Amino acid sequence: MRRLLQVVAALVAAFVLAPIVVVVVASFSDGAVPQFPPRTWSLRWYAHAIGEAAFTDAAWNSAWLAVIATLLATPLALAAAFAIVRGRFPGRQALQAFLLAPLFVPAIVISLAILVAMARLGVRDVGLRLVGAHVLVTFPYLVRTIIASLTRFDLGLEEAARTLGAHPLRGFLLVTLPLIRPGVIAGMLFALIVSFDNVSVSLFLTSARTNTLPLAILNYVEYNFDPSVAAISTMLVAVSLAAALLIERAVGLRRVVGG
Amino acid sequence: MAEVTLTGLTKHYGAARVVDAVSLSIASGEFITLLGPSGCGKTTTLRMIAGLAAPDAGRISLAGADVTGLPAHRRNIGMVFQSHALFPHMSVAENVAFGLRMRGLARGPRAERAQAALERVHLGAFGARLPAQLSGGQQQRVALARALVFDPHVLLLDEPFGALDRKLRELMQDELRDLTRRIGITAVFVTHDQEEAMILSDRVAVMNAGRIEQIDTPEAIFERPATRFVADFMGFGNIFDGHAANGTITAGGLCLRAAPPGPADGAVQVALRAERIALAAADTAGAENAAPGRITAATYHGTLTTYRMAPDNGGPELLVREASAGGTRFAPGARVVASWPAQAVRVLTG
Repeated sequence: MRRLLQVVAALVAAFVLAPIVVVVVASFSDGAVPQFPPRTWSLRWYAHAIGEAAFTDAAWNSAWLAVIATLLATPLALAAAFAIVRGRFPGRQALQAFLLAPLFVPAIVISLAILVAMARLGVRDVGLRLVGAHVLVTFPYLVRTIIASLTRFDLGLEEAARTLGAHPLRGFLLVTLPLIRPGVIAGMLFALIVSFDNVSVSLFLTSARTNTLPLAILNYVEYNFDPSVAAISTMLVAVSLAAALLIERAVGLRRVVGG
Repeated sequence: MAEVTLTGLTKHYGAARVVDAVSLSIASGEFITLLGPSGCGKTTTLRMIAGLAAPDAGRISLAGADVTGLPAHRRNIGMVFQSHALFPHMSVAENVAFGLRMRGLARGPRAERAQAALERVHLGAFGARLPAQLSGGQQQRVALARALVFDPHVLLLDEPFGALDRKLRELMQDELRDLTRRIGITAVFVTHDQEEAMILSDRVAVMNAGRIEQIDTPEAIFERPATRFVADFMGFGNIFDGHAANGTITAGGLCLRAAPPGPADGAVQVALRAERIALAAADTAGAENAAPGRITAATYHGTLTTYRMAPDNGGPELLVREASAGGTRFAPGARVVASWPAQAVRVLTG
């Protein structure tokens, strides 16, 4: 039975990872089209990709967007998670479901809704539109991880801080925040990845001059099929993997602190 | 001067009135215990003194100032929780210094005073450790040092030793009593353990259903309970509804003489201390109160052995507790005579 499970797990992993492996290996092709396996190996398409302004500009846009959206969404998510975990008001469950809704509603519906809302609000600046939309998309991931941390947090610690003379806000900063920090950091890394990878929302809101990396790749492959796209993709995979490892460390740290 | 004064303190949770018009005056340097079963309102009362729960009615004053509307962080109280509530991400020294830090003390004097407080609880060498690296008893001593370091008006303790094993609990009780007497702090202690209350307190307030049933010295509470609830909680073991006529009380078939005697006539409740009943195999001459009967159950507890005895005249069963002397003396079915002094019989007023 155990053996069978291991085989199934290995097959699933292979099925999920195989396409990525193909892309990663093909990114080292020397020829004008991606080959698997490459007949001759080369890093020249990496150089080409990094030299392509459409990619680098878009990558910077994506990075800034992810960072700003995450930094804006985090305090909002903290406040929302606090209200949900600590609040004693009717409709708490409903509010939680509502705040997490972007996780379950099809991305295309959200994208369209944001587009309509932005038009209605008269937000014309592409940067503003993107930041607003990405805050919304990353927010539920943050809320979810922060709720998980707060639920486990011992309220007695905050009470102890208050009896020792700490204003509730100070108690929060000195006691609560340091103890839920691993959860918050994990949520922030999730948010960074979600924002950086996002296609559907950005698709509706970007302009010809302001693009994000996933869209730049999409545009590029419409007219080109050289291995530079594979090279870019490989770099994206590497960044995502690094973030995932950081999350694992943050969550692992939480176990240490909680133990 | 009264250090802590509660006046008509009342608190509801939903429709339930968990604290019901509690009034209490605690003298400076006094150690008071709120004693009662879970749900009697003792912890809620303590939390209202701390400012962690807001009363629906009534007033609280600390050191002569009304603090009813004051938030917890401005009351200058020290509190020790059952879960010790040490900050897990701070060292022991940082934990102890926290209250001083909140009061704006500079780092140097802060560390000095924290160290002195740690030494007072015999943990001078543990300042650099994290709370998780200490044992349960050590953690609770750190919590005590943390609550005392800034010289609070009053020390509040919410079942602080509930999670400790019996031996450690006794040790901590001794330490707490010595420490609070030595520094002369006013303390309010919450527990459901009557023995703990006896050991620690100058006065004990027995609480039931949100009210203080009786407040007095441990000895008075234990020896002279006023109400049926207090007598029961103090482990009298035998409480009967009886009838007084010409100074003699009859309960079922039992004839009880009490000292002091209580009312001459009418319905009364009497309590008879289980460990003051003597069992003998033969008639005991000259006993004020005696009843022959038959043992129905015997239970060996170690230090004590308890017996149930059914009197021959059909009166209520008696619970008898006696120090075990080499094992169980009587088996179920054995014929015995139970006798007790009049001082073991207590007429209850409520």
